[in-house]
Amino acid sequence: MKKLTARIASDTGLLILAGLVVLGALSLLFGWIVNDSWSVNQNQYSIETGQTPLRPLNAETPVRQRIPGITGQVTDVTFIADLQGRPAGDVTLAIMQGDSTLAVMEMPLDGVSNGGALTFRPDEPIAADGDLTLGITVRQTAGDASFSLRYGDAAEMERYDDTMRNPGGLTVAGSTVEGQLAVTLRYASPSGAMLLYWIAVGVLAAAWIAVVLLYKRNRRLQRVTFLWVLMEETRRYKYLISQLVLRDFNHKYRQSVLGVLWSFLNPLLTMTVQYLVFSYLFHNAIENFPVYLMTGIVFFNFFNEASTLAMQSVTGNAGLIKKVYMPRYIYPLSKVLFALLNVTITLIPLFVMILITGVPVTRAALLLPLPLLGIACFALGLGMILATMNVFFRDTAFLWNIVVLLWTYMTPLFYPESIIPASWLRFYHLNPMYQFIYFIRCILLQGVTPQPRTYLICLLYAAVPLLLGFLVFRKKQNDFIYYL
Amino acid sequence: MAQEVMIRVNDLGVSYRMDLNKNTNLKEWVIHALKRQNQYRIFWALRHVSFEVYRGEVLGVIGHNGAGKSTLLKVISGILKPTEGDVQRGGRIVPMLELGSGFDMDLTGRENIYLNGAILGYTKAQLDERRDAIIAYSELGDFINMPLKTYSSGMLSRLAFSIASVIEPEVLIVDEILAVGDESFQKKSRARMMELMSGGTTVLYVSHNIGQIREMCRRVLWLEHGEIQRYGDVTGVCDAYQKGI
Repeated sequence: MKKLTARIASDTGLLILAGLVVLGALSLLFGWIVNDSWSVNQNQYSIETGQTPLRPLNAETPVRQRIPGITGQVTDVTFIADLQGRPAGDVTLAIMQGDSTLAVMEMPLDGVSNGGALTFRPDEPIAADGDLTLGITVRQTAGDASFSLRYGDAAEMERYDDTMRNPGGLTVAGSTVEGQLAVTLRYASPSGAMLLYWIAVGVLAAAWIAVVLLYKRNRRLQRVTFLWVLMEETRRYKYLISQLVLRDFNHKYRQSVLGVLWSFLNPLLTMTVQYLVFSYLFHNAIENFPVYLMTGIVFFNFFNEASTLAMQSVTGNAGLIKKVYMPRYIYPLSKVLFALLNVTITLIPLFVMILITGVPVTRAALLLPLPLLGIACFALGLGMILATMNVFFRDTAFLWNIVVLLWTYMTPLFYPESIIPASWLRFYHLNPMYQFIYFIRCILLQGVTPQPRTYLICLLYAAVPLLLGFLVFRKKQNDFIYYL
Repeated sequence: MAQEVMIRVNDLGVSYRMDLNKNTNLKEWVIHALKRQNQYRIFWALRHVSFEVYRGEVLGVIGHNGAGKSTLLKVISGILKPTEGDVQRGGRIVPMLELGSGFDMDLTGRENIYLNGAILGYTKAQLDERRDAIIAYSELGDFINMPLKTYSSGMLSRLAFSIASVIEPEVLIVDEILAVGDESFQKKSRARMMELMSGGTTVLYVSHNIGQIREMCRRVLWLEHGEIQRYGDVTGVCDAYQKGI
């Protein structure tokens, strides 16, 4: 094996070929995973929190709701309906654009559940381009049932910004009602993401060839390049890093009777406690609450553990740092790797939970290493900055505890995102942990890959802090010894 | 005779920025920064130090407390970055660790051989090969499979010495710890040092024990207040040093 890698590394042609084969295999695998959801944009127009029932509706009170700016293929429309009494008759949904009616759908009233979702799904997706109007008419053949739709009234709509508030959009029997129907409209629009993806793969392949050729031609480049130094150091300190991780691992598990079992039990127990506490509050708003909770707990804990251990890694190894030379970044790095090992173990109870609750596992779950690595890079970058601060100011550790606590509440771990006012969402989404956990829930709970935008954001949130942390750490690492 | 230079120290200088307030937390630092009281003084721990050490040589380093001996060793092993001048190294430098640092008290002696060996820069293959020799040399017997917290301090230092010396390092740094274990182990460790030196290992040896220095070294570096007081043949430097006391 070693001989083979050495032979490949020494031969320019073989090296290029090997790189292209690896790149090709990985990009095909990734393309296969994301193809279904990236070739179309799955969009959703949604006002989810309608709590108030509109007055009971009948044939004389047709409801019209304007939905602004829909371009694409409408696949389904969902309302929230209340139905009391003995139903007979039907409810009709007409989808209109300007003066033309695009589709009319009928549903018998006895299929409607009280306080539940009322979904209209056309046989063929409806092509829409512009503002849509949804017209709902109820026709009762026997008179003693009361049917109404939920809407968000003026007070509730305060949470949304102007485009979502859509003033004047809702009329009942021709007169305007302030507020909006609780409606979710899903539509697909064509996407160029896959094309961009294959172009990017092509660019990467070309870049690989260029880099290898440049490298092999220029001996001096080989000596000074950052990448070469990094590779050399990793090769040299690989064994040391593995020993340091092994030490932490033994430490954690040797002293306890249950050993590794704790890593299984811990997230399960935390999940159970939080489930008991929060299920009354948020149960209905979140699909598959146990798995939702557990993904939040497991991956936020990973971030917490990795960043905190990395922060303490330099001060905690003061004795060694004063006596033996090794690159200082090894200390935070080994701690983050240890946390990565731990979270990998806790994936087992997570997947058990996923199987028990019957969430379908799709091929998107294969993407899980990506957000995990993303969180690891983010935590390492942050941890290096914190470790540096902690050398000079030992109260960093206490401050960090408070920050993590605040961070826990700023991230939707045990509550649904929908309780956050829409006008705050812009800032709320800046939280890197929100993006990573959103990514993970997409692939584990929904079973789809996130949109390319999320990949870019996560990449940014992994790379920028890592680079920043690395620079801060490198600038200050020679002063550590005076303060330890 | 042209000898291979293992360590070349060129006009070395190390300065500390002494923080007069000794801020150790953010609160104090902010308060002092606001009051504009964050003052520093520059202190030179080493200055204008130049010398060379050849392959297989044992260089003694002597001097009073605070003369800069430990700082010099730290710069040579790469732990401290020099403020001026530089150090060229011809091989890997292995420090003989003080008691405990680098050891993990909860792991067994055997596991610590690998952990400590990795910290000292050895590869897994090297450690696998020499493991049994290290265990035999440390005279720990069955204790090797017990956690380190059950060891006596003599046993710990025997293990530390064995790990650092059984695998032949190119440059070994010994800071005051040859007085290890009981008398018979001391004799054994001294013999091992001699063996290493004749085998080509370069040793930097710091001690206050002038008798030992005279016995082990050919040349001696005498540091005082961060500068070289005298540097040369062992007898001359040691005589002068002892006269000065």
